[in-house]
Amino acid sequence: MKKTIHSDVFVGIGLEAFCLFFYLYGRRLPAAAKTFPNILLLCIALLAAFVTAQGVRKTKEMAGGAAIKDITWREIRYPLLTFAFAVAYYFAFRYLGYFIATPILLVGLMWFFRVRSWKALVFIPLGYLVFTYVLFVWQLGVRLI
Amino acid sequence: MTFSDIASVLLTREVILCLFVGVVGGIVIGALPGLSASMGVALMIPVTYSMSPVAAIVMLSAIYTSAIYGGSITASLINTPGTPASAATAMDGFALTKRGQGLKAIGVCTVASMIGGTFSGVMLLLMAEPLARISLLFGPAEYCLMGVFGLSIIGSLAGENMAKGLISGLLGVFFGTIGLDAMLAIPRFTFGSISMERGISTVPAMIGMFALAQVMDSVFDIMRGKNSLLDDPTKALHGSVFPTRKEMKEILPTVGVCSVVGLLIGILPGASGDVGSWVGYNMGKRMSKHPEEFGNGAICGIAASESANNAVTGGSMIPLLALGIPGSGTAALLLGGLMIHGLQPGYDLFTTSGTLTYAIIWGFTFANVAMGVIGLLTARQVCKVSRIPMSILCPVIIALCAIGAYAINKNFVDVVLMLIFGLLGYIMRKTGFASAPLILGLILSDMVESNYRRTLILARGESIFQYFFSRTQSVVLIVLIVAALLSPLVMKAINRRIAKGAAK
Repeated sequence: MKKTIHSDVFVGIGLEAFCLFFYLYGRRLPAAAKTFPNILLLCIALLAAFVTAQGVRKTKEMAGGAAIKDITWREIRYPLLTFAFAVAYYFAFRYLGYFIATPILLVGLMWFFRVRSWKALVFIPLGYLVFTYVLFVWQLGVRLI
Repeated sequence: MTFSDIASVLLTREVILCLFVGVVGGIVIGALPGLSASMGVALMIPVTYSMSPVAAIVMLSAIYTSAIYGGSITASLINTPGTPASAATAMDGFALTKRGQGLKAIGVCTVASMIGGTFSGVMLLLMAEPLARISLLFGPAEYCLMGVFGLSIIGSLAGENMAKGLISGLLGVFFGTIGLDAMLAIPRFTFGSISMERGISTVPAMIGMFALAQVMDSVFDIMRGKNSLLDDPTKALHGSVFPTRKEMKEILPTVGVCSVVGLLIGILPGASGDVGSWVGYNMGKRMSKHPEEFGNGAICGIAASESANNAVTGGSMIPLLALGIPGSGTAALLLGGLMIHGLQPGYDLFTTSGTLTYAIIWGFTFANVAMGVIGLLTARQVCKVSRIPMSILCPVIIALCAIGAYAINKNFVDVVLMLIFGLLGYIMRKTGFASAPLILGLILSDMVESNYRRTLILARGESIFQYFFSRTQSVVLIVLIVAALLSPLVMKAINRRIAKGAAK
């Protein structure tokens, strides 16, 4: 049987690493500036140890055949792919401009979500661009081009 | 100065037009994620140069209160709070929308906002000067304790796992320490980035945590073929937007108490609508006979946060008008608006310019009523947003998230922050961490830390606890904090005893 580790274990270890990293990073700060963040990091680290312990217990229970809810790759692969779309969109927005990047994102993502109506693929990006142009560029003076 | 003098200044075509433009504009600004009340007021100040002082300030204050309400529309319908003050509303409002009751969510939001805002307007009218004196009694020790009082809510927002909820809140407070140290003016955890020196802005973090994370969460459903925001898409958005008599009876005590809470928070400088909504939400939960329903579509949850955040608006104008101390960032902008129009806050404002001042306060009160009427009349159309297929709504929300984060400071760092917090929010959702405490911690972090350090300086070597206990107002706040922490346990014990009694 495939041995799986509950996600709480990874989360707990990740949080401990986070606390250690910021503790070391803030070492050179004056005492007055680092005391409050260090107190917070200590509290997070203690609670993270508790979460890790919970994760170990859940892992053992899972190994014993208990049905414990946990995240699966199947569940998160499409959301993460969508996030990758959002990151790509950020770069396109930054280097190509909002009004070129946005229709690409809207059409691309709608197609990915299985929207096949040509009316939706044409008029939604068009309507959205007109709306954002009128509100942000024209009314609020935000430079997007 | 008589009422007819005030009416003659207030009931002009210019003022009435400005009031309605302010209300509608404020609702639209508030409903768009990334556009806050402060942004709306800041953008409109130059437009008011050519207006009369009353028309100008009525329009600006109408934008302020309506934007706070507008934020709750998107918070309830698509789980995307338009302003930070609506983050608490999103929890119950969106849960209700998912059950096909978006209309009811908007109705409760509107009624609670209208009552909270109008109440604060009336209080502004009656108690501007005496209430403003209270805020003068507050020093750093009390502000620090106010922040701790706000953080005591984390316990009730933690969800199923208290340890994870506390981690979430503490992470928020820690993220709040990133940026320029408030006391020493040295960069902390900025990784050498100048943009990071102003700290993590709440708005991009909130857009990411709530909106982007929500989109990512919905993608799994879209790919499985569930393309509707509603749990049962065959169910139309039915019912009336007006709460029933039974519902009104249920929410009115909460609205009353939370309006008072919001008003008091508004009076205290530095504590804005976002703090007010969370404290109000917590108060509503503690008052409720069914606290377990909070977060799952409780109308009292919506009513609590909405009445409190709109009551903050009038509250923040009390010290602004009476003493020239703005109670919130947006009130600070209103101060600029007052000065541009030659109105100097203080005693003179109520004597020399009394007619104008009272006309402005009446205008603000009417704006809250107009906001409620317009909100209720347009609710049915607005609610149709929740019937748009998710496959269309999600890409549009991502594009809105990016422009919303970017437009605040016209800075790409905010877009990156939004993406980081979006991913973090999604991971937190999937691993059982509540995301609301993180945002609460981020909002209150600076208030707690900077005032804690100022209190240490003021204590001059003596124990900070000795200093706290030497101040009556601090003792009152400590009692409130202890009561807030113990009340869930006491309530649980009482409920257990009642249940035992009923079983016998």
